[in-house]
Amino acid sequence: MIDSAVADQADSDQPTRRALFSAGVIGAALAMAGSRSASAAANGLSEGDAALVGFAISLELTARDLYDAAIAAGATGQVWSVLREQHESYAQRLAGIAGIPGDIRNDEIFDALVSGFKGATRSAAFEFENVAAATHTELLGVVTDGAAAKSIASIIAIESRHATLLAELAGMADNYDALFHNTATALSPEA
Amino acid sequence: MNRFPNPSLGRRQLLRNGGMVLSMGAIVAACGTNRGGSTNPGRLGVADEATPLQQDPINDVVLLRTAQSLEYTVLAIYDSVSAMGELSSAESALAGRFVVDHTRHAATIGSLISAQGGAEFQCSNPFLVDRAVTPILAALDGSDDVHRDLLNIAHAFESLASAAYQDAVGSLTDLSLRKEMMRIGGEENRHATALASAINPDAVFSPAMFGEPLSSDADGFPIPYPIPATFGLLKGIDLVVGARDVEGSRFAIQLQTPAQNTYVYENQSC
Repeated sequence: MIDSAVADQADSDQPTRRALFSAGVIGAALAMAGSRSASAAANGLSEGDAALVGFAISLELTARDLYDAAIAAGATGQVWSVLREQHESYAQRLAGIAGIPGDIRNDEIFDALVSGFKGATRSAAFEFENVAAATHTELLGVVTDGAAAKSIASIIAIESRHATLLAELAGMADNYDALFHNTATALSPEA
Repeated sequence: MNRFPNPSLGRRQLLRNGGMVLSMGAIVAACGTNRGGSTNPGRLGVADEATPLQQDPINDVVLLRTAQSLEYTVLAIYDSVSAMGELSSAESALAGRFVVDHTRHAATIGSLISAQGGAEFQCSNPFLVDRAVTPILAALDGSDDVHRDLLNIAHAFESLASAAYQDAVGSLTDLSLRKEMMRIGGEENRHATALASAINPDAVFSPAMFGEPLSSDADGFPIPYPIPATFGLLKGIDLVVGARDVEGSRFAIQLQTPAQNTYVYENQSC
């Protein structure tokens, strides 16, 4: 078992979001989204929407696998297993709407963040939840399908809550900016 | 004396003919068109036909004005909560932060309204105030635990705002507004999470997420959870406040996301 309180001290060593972007994550996300679009129109989504929803699915599957990595590394506690399930549910919901198989994670995002999760650092998970919420929020500005937009909104609602919960668990309960204001930069499938 | 002069019309014949009439009626009815008739209620007298009420359009400006009115409603609630002097210093600091956030949200929405060519609505939602806020605050009179009630009220209205923004995504036509609404909605969810943690520090996840039934606490109050569901909820938000009455009940209300009666239409002013 990894002591999260101790592990959190190593947070400064984890890759930052800026580093994540510089690692070329965005391009990979775009490639992944594009690879899904050809099979996507089955549920009536436009190709553009299908690519965007495919991007969101890959992000959620990446989240699932990051939580799995934390659990495999010895993270204990309900929060890890439940959040893992939450993200898998989001991928499944979006896959159902888009008619896209929900089975491809984004390896580059995963590789960039997995060490933080293997350390079972709640602040690593907190940062990821903020990035996920910010990314989905940006998607709402471009996804035209109403059902997909409503599902994405319902995911943003709870991922925002995840972030606040994880901030509290990571010892940031007095840091109101961390608790209530999401300053994360969204991942973009268009970069 | 024979009371039936036509001897051929016996009981058996009568039943047979009656059945034929019913059958013919069914056939004629099935072949007919425009069989619906008027659905208007019956009228008495000779007064003029009533003028139908004008149905104001529900457009993006109306949805934004409604969202802005929600922000002012929540701000008014925090004013009332703070004025009662029941919050701890930590809770007061938290409420103070929420006031800052809601003030910023109201201003942001105001800018969005102006950009859409609409007029801001810088006051509380009239319907919510009449039907919810006023009776809720009145129910605090004589409460057995005002502090408990104030936290529950704050949580309920933050949850309502959370749900309202999520709900608006399905109605807004301008995609950029959907994004802006959920940017604010995400923050409302964060507020609700912190309040749920403060009220109920013993549990994080709602039992409903594991297929278990939801229940109230021993005193009949809904139990808030920092993570209430897998997906954002749009259902009514139960709020219970005040002391028990002579029948053992407390004041209870269900807050609903804005609908036709709650919208702030373009012809409304403060």
